[in-house]
Amino acid sequence: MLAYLAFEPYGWFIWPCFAVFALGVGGVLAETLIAARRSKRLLAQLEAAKARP
Amino acid sequence: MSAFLALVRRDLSLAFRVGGGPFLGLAFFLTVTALLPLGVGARLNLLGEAAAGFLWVSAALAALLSLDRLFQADAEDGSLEQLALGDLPLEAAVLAKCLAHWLTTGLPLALAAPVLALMLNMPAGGYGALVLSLLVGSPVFSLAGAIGAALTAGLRRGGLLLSLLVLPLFVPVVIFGAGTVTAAINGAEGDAAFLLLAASSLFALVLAPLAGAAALRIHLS
Amino acid sequence: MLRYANPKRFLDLSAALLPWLWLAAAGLTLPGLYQAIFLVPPDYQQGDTVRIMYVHVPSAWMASFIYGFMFVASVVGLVWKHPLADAAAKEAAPIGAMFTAVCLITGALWGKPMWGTYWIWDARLTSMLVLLFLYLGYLGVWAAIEDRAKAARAAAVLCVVGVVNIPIIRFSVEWWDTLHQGPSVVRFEGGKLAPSIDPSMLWPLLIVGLGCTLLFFALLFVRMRTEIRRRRIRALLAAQAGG
Repeated sequence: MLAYLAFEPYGWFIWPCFAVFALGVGGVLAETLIAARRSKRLLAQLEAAKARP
Repeated sequence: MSAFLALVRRDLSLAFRVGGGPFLGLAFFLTVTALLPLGVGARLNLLGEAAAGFLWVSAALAALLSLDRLFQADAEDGSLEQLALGDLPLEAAVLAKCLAHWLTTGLPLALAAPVLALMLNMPAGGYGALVLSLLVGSPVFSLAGAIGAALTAGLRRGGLLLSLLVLPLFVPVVIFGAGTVTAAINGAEGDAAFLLLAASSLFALVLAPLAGAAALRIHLS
Repeated sequence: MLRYANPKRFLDLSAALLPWLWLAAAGLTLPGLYQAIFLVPPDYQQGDTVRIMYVHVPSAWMASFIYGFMFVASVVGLVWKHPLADAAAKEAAPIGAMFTAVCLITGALWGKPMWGTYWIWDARLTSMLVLLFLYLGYLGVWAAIEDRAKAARAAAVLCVVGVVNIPIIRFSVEWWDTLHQGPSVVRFEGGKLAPSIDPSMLWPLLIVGLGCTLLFFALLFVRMRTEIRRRRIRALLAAQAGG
C-alpha cells in the first residue's frame, strides 16, 4: 500500500500538491471559523452589556 | 476646450516647477538602462535581443514613478473638489491630467528611446518601430495609471498599491508594444501587433476617463 | 433578490443552507480526492502525475469563478447599492486568492515532472499569475482605505476594471505565447494543462470541482455572517462611545 502511495518517481511532486491544496483550503477554513467564533463572542458580550443597565 | 487646455498647461507647469518636468523620467530611463548590462553582462548580442522588451518595461516603470502624484497634490489642497464642481466634466479633467502626464513622461521617453536602444545594441530594423510603438502605446501608461492613481488618491503609501493595481493593465500594452518592435527587427509582419497596440490605446482613451472620474468621485463623496 | 437584502433574511437563509452546504461540499470533495488518489489509473503519457490535475484544475476553475462572482457582486453594489453586495465581494476575495495561489503552486509542481521546469511562461500560467495580482490589488484596496463605504466602492470599481481587462490580458498573453514558440519552450501535446484524457477520468474532476464550488459558498456565507456581526459590533461600539 505504501509502495503504491509513493507513486514512484513522482511522489515528491504529487503529495506536496495535495498538501498545498489541503493547507490552502484548511487555512481559509480555519481563519473563517475562528473569526466567526470571535465575532459571535464579542457580539454576545456587547449585547449583554447593552441589556444590563 | 479652453478649460481643458488650461488644466493641461497648469499641470505641465507644475510638473516642471516641482518634479523637474520630463528630466526625472529621462534620468530614470537612462539609469535603468545602465543597470541592464550591469546585471546580465555586457554580451552585445544578449543585450540586443532583450533591448526592445527591456525598454518597453522601463518606460512602464518610468511612468509609474510619477503616477501616484497625479491626483495627490490636488487631493491634498482641495483643488480636486474644485475640478469636480467646475465647468469641465470630471472625465475631461482626468483626460487633461493624463495628457499632461504623458507629455512629461511617455513622449520624452519615446523620443529618447533610440539613444538608449543604441546603448543596448538593439538591431537596426527596430528603431523606427520602437519610437512609433512607444508614441502610440505609452499613453496607455498614463491613462491606465490614472485609474490606479484615482483609486489610491489621498492614501499615504498609495504608490506601492498603485503599482500593483496598474501592472495588470500594462500587460497587454507591453506585449503588443515589444511585439511590434521585435517583429520589425525580425523582418516579420508587425502589423498585427501594431494594430492591437493602437486598439489598446483607443480603448484606454475611452475607459480611463470614465473609470478615473468614477474613482475620484468615490474619494470626494 | 432584494428581499434578501435585509440582513435578517440573509442570516436566516444562510443558517438554513449552511449545514447542507458543508455536508455536500465534504461529501463531494473528499470522495473525489479519494478517487483521484486511489482509483484513477496512471495516465498513459503522464503517469501518476495526472493525479495533480484533480487539485490543480478545480483550483483554476475556482480562481476564475470567484473573480466572476466578485464582479457580479461589485456591479450589484455599485448600481443597486445592495447592502450585502459589498460584503459578498469582500469576503469572496481571500478565498479566490487562495485558490489562485494553490493553482499556481500545484501548476509549478506539476510542471517539473511534466516539462522539466517548475515554471513556464505559457498563456495559462501567466494569465493565472496576473489574476493573482488582480486579487492582491483588490485586497490591498480594502486594506488601504479606512472609510469602509469608500473602500467598498473603490474596490468595486477596481474589480469591474479588472474584469473588463481580463479578456484583453488573456488574449494578449495567448498571442504572445504563440509568438514565442521556440526550441526553449517545451510544448505539451494536446494542451498543456488538460491533455486528452479518458472521460472516465473526468468524473472525479467534476466531482471535486462541484465540491469546491459548494465549499466556496459555505465559506462565503460564514464569512458574510461574520461581517454582518462585525457591522453590528461597530454600531454598538459607536453607540456606546456616543451615549
